[in-house]
Amino acid sequence: MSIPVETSARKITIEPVTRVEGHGKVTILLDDDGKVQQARLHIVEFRGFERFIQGRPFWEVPVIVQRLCGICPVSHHLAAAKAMDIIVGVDELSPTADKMRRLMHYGQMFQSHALHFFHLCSPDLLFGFGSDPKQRNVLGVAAAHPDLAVQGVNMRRFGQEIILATAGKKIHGTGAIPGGVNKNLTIEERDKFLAEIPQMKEWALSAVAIAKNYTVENLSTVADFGTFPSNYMSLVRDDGAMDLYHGKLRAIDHNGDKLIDGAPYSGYLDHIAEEVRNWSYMKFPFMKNMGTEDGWYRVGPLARMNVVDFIDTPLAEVARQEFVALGAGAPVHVTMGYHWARMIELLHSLEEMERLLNDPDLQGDELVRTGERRSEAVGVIEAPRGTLIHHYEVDDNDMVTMANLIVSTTHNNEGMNRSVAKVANDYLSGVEITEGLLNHIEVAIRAYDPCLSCATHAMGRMPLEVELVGADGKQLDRKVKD
Amino acid sequence: MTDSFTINVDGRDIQATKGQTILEAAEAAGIYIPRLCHHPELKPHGSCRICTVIANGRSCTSCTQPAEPDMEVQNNHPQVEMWRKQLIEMLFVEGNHFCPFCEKSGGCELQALGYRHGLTATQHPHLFPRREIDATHPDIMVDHNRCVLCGRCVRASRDVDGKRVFQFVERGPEKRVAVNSDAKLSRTDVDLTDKAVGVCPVGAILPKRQGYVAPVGAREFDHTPIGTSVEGGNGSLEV
Amino acid sequence: MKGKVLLLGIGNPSRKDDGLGPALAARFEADCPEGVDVDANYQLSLEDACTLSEYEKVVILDASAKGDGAFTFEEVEPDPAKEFSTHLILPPSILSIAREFFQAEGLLYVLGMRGYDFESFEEGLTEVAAANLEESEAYLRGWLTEA
Repeated sequence: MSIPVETSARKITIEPVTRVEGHGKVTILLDDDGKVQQARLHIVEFRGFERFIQGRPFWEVPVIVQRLCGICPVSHHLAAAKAMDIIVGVDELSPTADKMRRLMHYGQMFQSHALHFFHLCSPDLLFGFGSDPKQRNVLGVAAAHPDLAVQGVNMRRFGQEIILATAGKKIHGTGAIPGGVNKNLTIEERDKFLAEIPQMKEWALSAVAIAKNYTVENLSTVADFGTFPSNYMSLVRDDGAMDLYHGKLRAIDHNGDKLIDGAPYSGYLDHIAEEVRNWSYMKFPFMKNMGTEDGWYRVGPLARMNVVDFIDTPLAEVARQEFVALGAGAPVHVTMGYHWARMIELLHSLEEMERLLNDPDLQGDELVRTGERRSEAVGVIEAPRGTLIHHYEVDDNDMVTMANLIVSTTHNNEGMNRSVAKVANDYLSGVEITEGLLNHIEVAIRAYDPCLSCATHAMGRMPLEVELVGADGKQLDRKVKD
Repeated sequence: MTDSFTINVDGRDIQATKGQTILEAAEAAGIYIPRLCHHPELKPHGSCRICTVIANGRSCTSCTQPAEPDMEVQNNHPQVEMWRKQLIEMLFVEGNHFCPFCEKSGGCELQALGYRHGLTATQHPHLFPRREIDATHPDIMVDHNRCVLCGRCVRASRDVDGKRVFQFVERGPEKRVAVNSDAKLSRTDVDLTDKAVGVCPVGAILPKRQGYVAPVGAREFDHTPIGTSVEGGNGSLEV
Repeated sequence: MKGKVLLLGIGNPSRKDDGLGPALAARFEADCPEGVDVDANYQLSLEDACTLSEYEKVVILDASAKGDGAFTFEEVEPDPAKEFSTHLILPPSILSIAREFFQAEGLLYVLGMRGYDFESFEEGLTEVAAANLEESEAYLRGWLTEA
């Protein structure tokens, strides 16, 4: 079967099954004048998962959904658990349950951001993405900062151990259950973690410094790279503070004016709709009050820096202020700013963990609350990559009858396409995909840290493939990152 | 004449009394014979055959076979061990047992038997049968995907609860546990406190809304293998 | 004391043939030669670089979406090139990190078992992939006796 695709320039045909051969595929469409008309990033999105949970009892869902992703199972675990709290009629968790879950979440955030920074983005930031890609790799990092990877691995391990202590396992944990948690934190566990906090803080601060210095020193090239003005969305606490675990929906436009504010996320469907485009399996969410043309937005670390009024931990707040100064009163639209923002969140997560570990509520023993059963619920969390929405309906027999998940990467769909188009527009000359262009496209996508693990990752699937398609629909060039 | 006599299990002489099965005599002497359909409070059934031993040179189910004076029993024996392993494996492939997200994980007797016998992967292909979940009852759920047809619920409901809620229907590969109502569990007089609900060794009959309450590390078989309580707590399990 | 050889299964068992790696790892866990450790995860991760440094030989057991035979078995050469996503770290890159940062001296191999269905959200291997698993296991057991 094939689907005809209309474009303003011509009609081309894409075979659905071959649309995505690897992990990511980029199609750059040229117009009659040979200029970039559009870029399309195809990412394998999970499909069929909703069916997997339909007909299962609701209390299984927080455990089952972790099979979506080996990279951030905790985010799915918690988003589902938050929805199931509402299903069991619990609007407010016990302090112990709330704080254990938060600790789990910040552990997850910390390990995820540490991985991204040290493995993927530090070479770009230390050497500049314009430099020779042969230098701009882990060997270069080893030469310049021999301790960096060891720090990265250790920070990741710290986050993983927090997850282990709160969820019971690194993947397939069971810590969050409908209405609460199944364990608290022992004094021994707490003290072991507290002893490591100073070292982790030092490393987190130095990671922020690397990201900041790079961005500031190279602002002339970085500022415009894959950059465009956009709307932003995230959860925020009632007082406007960053809160990665819980809050209300806020969205701002490219000037920073609020489009949505103080909106309970249970009503997300009043604010957000998803557009289907026939060339992509991944949908394109947009704000209803703005329409499909102007209503798209970005989520994740950059969005959160722009959307929140402040960060409620001291070191990260100082870092945030330095970051937002870049926007001179308006939101920071710099796509490469995702990296710096991500490190500020790394530091914030560490500060939050320190605060939580010092809170005696973690040793409390009111773990679970109960209430009046409800039939429909939405759970939303700020996952490492952005807003994660889980929505369920449960029948009178306790079985899940409907599941709708909007993952962070889906919110960023339009943003990623625009970044790729911008980069292609700026760096494409002629009809050839040069090594440099391929690299630049990769750098742009990497800034968003898209989710791919919902897909599979067998060998032989191309990590990234870029094709150039002319106005007549013919492929002009194709490059595969090998 | 005395009712007490000696039998020998794996080279060890133990005392048995008239009327005891091999399994009971061994258990009283601190020897664990793996079992699944057997339950101390229910009439022995001998259907799962996991408790098979070699007694006086012949294989038999130790939960039904009476102990006899001077009986020679092989329990820890390579042949017996192989039979058990194969039986456990067949139970795994015949149903849909997804341990990673099953709420019975860590407290499941089938899973624990698998661990005790070093079974972490199956050699036979999974059948992935399509089976249903009966969630009609407000407090109890039956997930037929995980049923191993041990018949504990059938016996408990009939003999202890006096209700006959659960019974076997069909034969051979079609055999399954059904309830005595054409409108599923909700129309039966089963109750959460019934023996039939509590004796399920796997995650097939479950009290609703109580899953995952025990954290990883605090579940029945997280630290010691199944049978440890019989053997006197000397076993240990690498987790 | 750790063994000399680590078998590391990679893949998601909920996605049909993507579970080939963990399936083979489980086979070896059930019946494991002396001196061999076995582990499995959804995907390769940064800290595997650290793990690599603790073994003389590490074999990554993975599914492969390409190839004519039942499986391929190759030694991995380090390559520091990095990927564009945290969701994908390739063996050559892990080996580079292990050598550069964790003083790893051991060798890394990849056993790629041909799979066919990676899209369905279901447990269980396709029939052909299950046959490939058998062949791969036989080969790997032979290799381990010589290794």
